[in-house]
Amino acid sequence: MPLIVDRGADWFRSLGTEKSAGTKVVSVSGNVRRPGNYEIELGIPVRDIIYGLAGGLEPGRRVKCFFPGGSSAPVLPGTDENLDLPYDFDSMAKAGSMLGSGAIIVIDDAHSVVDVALWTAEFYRHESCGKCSPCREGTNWTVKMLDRINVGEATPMDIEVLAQMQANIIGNCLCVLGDSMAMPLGSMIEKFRPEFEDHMEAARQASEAEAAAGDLELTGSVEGAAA
Amino acid sequence: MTYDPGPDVIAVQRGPEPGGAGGAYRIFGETLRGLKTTLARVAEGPVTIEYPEEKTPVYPRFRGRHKLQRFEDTGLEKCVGCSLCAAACPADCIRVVAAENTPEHQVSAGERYASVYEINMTRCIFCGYCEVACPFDAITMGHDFELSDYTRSDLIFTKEMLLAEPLERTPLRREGE
Amino acid sequence: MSRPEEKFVSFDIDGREVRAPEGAMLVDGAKYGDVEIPVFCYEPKLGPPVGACRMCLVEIEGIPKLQTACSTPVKDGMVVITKSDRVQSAQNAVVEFLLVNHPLDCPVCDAGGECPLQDVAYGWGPGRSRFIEPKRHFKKPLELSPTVAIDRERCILCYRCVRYSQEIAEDHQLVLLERADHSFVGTHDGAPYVGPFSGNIIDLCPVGALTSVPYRFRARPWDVEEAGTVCTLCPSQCNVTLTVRDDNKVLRAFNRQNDEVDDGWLCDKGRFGYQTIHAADRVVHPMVRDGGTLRAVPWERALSEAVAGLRKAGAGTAALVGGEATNEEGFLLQRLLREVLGSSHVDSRPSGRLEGEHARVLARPDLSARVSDIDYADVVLVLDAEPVDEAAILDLRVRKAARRNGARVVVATSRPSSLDANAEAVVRFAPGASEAALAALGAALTGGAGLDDLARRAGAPAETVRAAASLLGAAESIVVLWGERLSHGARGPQGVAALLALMRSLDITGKEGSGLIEIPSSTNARGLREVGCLPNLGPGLVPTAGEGLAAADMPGAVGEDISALVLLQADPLRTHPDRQAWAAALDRATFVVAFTDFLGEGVLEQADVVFPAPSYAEKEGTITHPDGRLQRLRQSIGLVGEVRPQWGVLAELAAALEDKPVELLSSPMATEQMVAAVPFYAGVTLAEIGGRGVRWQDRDAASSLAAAELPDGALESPPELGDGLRLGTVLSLWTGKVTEHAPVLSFLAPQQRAELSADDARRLDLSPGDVVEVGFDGTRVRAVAALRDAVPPGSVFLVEGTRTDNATALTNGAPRTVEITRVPDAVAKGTSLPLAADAGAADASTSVAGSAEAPPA
Repeated sequence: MPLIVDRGADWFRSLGTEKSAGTKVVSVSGNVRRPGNYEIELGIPVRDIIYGLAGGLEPGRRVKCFFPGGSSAPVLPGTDENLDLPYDFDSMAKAGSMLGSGAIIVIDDAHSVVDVALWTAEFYRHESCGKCSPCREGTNWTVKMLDRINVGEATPMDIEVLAQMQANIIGNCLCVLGDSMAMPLGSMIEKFRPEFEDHMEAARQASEAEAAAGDLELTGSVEGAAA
Repeated sequence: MTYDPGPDVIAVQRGPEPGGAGGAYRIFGETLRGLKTTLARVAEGPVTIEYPEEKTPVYPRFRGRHKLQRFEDTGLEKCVGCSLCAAACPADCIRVVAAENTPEHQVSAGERYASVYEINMTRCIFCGYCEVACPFDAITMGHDFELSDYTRSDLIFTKEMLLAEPLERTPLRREGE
Repeated sequence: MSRPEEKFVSFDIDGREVRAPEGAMLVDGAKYGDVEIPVFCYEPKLGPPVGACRMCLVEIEGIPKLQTACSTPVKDGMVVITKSDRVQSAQNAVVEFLLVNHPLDCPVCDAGGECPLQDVAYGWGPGRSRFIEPKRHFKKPLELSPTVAIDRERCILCYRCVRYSQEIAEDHQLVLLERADHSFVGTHDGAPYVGPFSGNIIDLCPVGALTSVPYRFRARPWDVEEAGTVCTLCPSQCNVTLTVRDDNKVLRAFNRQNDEVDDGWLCDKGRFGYQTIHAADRVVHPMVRDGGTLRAVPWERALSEAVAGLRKAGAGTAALVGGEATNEEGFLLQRLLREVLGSSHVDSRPSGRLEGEHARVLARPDLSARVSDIDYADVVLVLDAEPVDEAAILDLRVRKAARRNGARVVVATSRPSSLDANAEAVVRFAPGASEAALAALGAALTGGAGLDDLARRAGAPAETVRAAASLLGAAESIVVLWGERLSHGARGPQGVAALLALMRSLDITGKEGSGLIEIPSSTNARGLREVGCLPNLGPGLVPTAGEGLAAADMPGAVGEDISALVLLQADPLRTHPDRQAWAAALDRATFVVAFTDFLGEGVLEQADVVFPAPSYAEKEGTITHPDGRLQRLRQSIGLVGEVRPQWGVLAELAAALEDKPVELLSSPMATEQMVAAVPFYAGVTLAEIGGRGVRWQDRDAASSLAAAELPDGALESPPELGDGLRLGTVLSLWTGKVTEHAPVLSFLAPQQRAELSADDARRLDLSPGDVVEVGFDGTRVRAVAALRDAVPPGSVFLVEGTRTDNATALTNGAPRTVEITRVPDAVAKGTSLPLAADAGAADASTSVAGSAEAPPA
C-alpha cells in the first residue's frame, strides 16, 4: 500500500498484465516444500509460483491437481498446459476455474483426489449455516456419499449422482457457500472420474475381502445425533 | 301392364332337388348331426361343482376376506392406523381411528396404532385397493369368500375379527390345474 | 402510515400478461395469473420474506441466476418463466434436497393428507429420491408444550415458527439451535413454549414437525369435514374452521383467515377451547331442582316449570345476558321480558349504567374504527384494557402495526401491560381512576389547565400525561382501544363522558382511519347492547318507556322489586362485582332459571330450572364484533345430548306465557325478526353477512341510528384517590370454562395471585410466593404474592373470574383500598381441578399459570 501511494497508480498498473494489473499476495500451501505467502506480479506462469517461489514438490512427486484460488475454486489438473497458464484473473477463468482469493493449494500424486474431495466437502458441511436447503442438505449428502465410496459401498452410478448433485447446488443457494463446495467437487469428479471409479472399486474389493475374512465391521456414515 | 325387369333378371341357381332319400336325410340325418354335439356333451359328464361338498379352488391371489397381519417375531400388529386403506377404498367401507402407543400398551411398532379398525363387509367390493395402498403390508386379502350372515351389523368386521386367524376352508388351485 | 392505495402493474408470466398490485411479491402476483409457484418459507402473514428454502426459484429475463419469487416484488414489464427446464430442474433439485433428511413418516404423521411438503413433492419433485444414506436423527416426538408436539426429524428448517415467535407473537422463545444439518428448533433453555398464541405454529408448519397434541392421531383429512363459524370465547370473535368427524364431534379448531377480524391468527383459547364442547361434565339435559338437588328431566317438565315460575314472578323478573348469547337470543329474551312479562330489568353488562345518549354516540359510524384501521394508524391508544387478556388477537394486530407500519403505541392503563415494551408513551394511573386519567389527557390536549390536579387525582405523573397527549395531539390518525371497564362502576357514566370529551379534543371524527374500538368484557357485548339487552335501551338503542334496574342494582332489589332471575349463559358469581351480594340474591330469589353449559357454583346451588345451552359449534345466529361487524355463527355439529337451540326455548317460553302457539319456527326467522327491530340493521340478510361478515356502519341503514352529539359540557371533577393499597383487577385470558373443562388447557388455570410492587412488598414484609390474604374488614381473598417491578407502588392487582378466591368478592363498582397480610404457615400449592378426563395438575409456582405476560422487559 505505501509503495503504491509512493510510486503512483501507473507504476502499479505497469506490473502485471493489461487486465489484471499490479501484484498480488498469493498464499501457496499443500504439498510444496516452501509453503507461504508470496507477492507476485500477476501474469507469471503458475509453474513459476509452485516450482519457483514455493520450492516445488517433494522429490519424485508430480502435481496431480491444484486449486488456483482457494478451496472454493474448481481444481485444475496438473498438466503442463495448466501449469504454464499465466496466473491472472482472465486466464484462470478461461481455464474453467477462478483466481478467487489467491490461495494456491497444490495436491501431489501421493494423495487420492477422493480424499481431497472428502476433506473439502467436510469443511463446507461444517461451515454451512443451514438456512437454504441445497447447501445444507447438499453438503451433508456429498459427505455421506464420499464416505460410502471410501468404505466400498458405492457403484459408478453413485458418482454420476454425485456429479448431478453438485450441478443441482450451483446457482440455487442463498449464498455462495454451496457453490463453493459444489464447484471444486464438480470439477474433481469431472476431471478425475477414472480415479474416483478406481478408488471406489478398490475400496469395494477391500471391504469384500474383509467381509470374507469374517472381520465385518459396519463403518461408514452412520450419524445419530440426539437433540 | 306387367313390369318387365329386362336385363336385371338374375337366374337363381338352385341346388339339385333331391328325391325322397335326400329329403329324408335332410330331415332326419341333419338333426342327428346336430344331436352329435349335444350327445357328446352328455358323454362328457356334468361339470356342476357340487357346492358345498365340492368347492371351486381359487387362485393364490384371489381376493377374499381381509386379514390384518402381525409381525411373526414380535407379535406386534403391523397396522399403524395410517388410514390409507380407508382413503383408497372406493366403497368407503373402512373406518380407522388411530391412537398413540404407550410403553405400557404397545400395540404396534412405532408411535401409533389403530384402536378402531372396522370393515363393513356389506359394502366391501373386494377390489383389493386397501391391500395395494397399505404401506406396511398390514392388510392382505385371503381366500375366504364364505361370509354370509343373518344380520347387517354382524357383517361389520372389527379389528379383532380381522386379526384372528382365518378359517382355511377354501381350496387352493394346485400347480398345473 | 395511512392505508396504501392499490396500484396495479402488468408483467408477463409464462407468456401471459398478468396484472397484479404493485409491491406484491412475485409468488402472490403469479396467483393473479393462475400460476402457482411452490413455497415453504414464504408466508405473507409473517412479514418480509426470507428466501431461505429456495423452492420458489423462477427465471426472470435479464437476470442470469434463478431468483426466489417470494422476495422479488413484481415490476412493470417483468418477464417471468416458471416452466422452463432450468426452473424445473432447480425445483426438482430443491425437493430432492429437502427430502434428504426428511423421515419416511407419512403414514404415522398427522400432517399426512394435508401436508404442503407432500403436495409440493408430488407436483414439483423428481419422483424418487436417490438418497440411500442414513438420515439424521433426533429424539422424537417431544412436547414443545402441553399443547404442541415437536418432531425435529421432520423439520425442513423453513424458519416460519421461529420468525413467528420473534416477530409476530414477540415472545422470543423459539430459536434455531446448532448449525447446518444439525440445526433444530427449540427454546433457548429447553423450557416449554408457553404463550397465548403458541398454537399458531401448528398451522404455520408446512410439515408435520409441529402438531397439535389434542388432535394427535384423531383423524385423517379424508375422514373429516370442515365447517366455518366464529369463535365466541372472547370478544375478538375470530373466524374459525372447525374440523368435524361424523357430523357430531369437533376435533379441532383453526383459523379461517379474515383480515378484517383476526388477520389469520387464532389464540390458544380458541384453538384448544373446543374441548369444552364435548366435556363429560357438560350439561346436556334439562334439569329441575327436585328435593334440593338438580335432576335431569324431560323438556316438557322443565319448560312447564319455567313457565310457571316466570308467570308467577311476572314483572318481577330480571335477566342477565352473558356474552356468548347471540343477537337473536338476546333479542328474544329482552322481548320476552319486556313484552310478555312487562319487566325491563335486563342487562348484558356486568357493572355500571350506560346512558342512552352515550350509547348512541359510541355507536356512531364516524366515531367507530375498523379492526384493520389498527394496521395503518399513526397512533394506537390503549385505554384501560389489556388486549392480550381481553381480546387477544388485537394484541397481535397492535404489535404488527408497531413493528411493520411504524405505528406509535400509547398505553394508558393502571396495570402494567405487555404492550409497554412497544409503547412510545405510557401513562400509568391508579386502579379505579380511569375517569381522572381521561380528564387529565383531555386537559393536557386543550392547554393544560387543571392538568396537575387531574393527574394527581389519577395517580399518574403529570409528565407522562403530557408526553402522551403531545403524541396524540400530533397524530394524523388515531385508533383508540378502550376497555369496557372504563364504563363500569358507580361512576361509569362519568368515565364514558370523559372518554367522549377526549375524543372531541382529539377531533377523532375529523381524522381519517380513526375511531374507537371497544374491548368489551364479554364476547357479544356490542350486539347484545344493540338488540336491547340493556335496562334503559331497547332494540336499536332506542330509549324504553320504563327503565329497569341495571345489573349492579339487581342484587339489592331481589326480594322486593325482583323475585325471579333468568341467567342466559351468565354466571354473576364469576363475572359480576360484589360476589357476596349476588350469592345472597340468588339465594333470596324465589325462582332462578339458568341457561348454561356447565354447572357453576351459583347455578348448582340456587337454580330451580336449568336449560342446557348449546355451544358455539351448535348455534345458528349472528353476533356483532366490537367494531360493528355482524358475523354469522353456523351450526357445525349436531346438537349434543338433549340440547335444544336457545332461540327455540325462548320462543316456546314466550308462547307458553302468552298462551299462544309457537310462531318462531327457524333460526333465520329469529334473525329476520331481530333485524326488523333494530333500525340500523335494517335489511341485513344472512346471505349478506355470509362468511366474512358485514359492518352495519358501512351500509345505508346506518343512517337510521338516532343522531347523537359528543358531549360538550365541562366534566365533573373526579374523586380524590383513597389512601392505602388500591385494588385493581385483571381479566385473565385463562379464567373460565376453557381451563376448567378443556383438559389440554387445564395447566393454564389461573390461581389467585396478588401483584404488588417491590416497594410495597418490602414495606409489608412479603416475599414472592407467600400466601396472603387480601381484603378489607371481614372480606378476605386468599392469593399468592407475586412481585412485579412495573407495578407502581400503591396498587395491587387480583385476578377476576377464578373459581376460588375470586377478586369479585372484593369489588363493588367503587374504587377500593385493601390490606394485605401474610398467612403464616401456609404454602402455595398446585391447583388440582377435578376434570372430566385427565386431572391436569398445574404447578402454582410457574408464572405461566395466570394471565399471559410478556417476558420481563
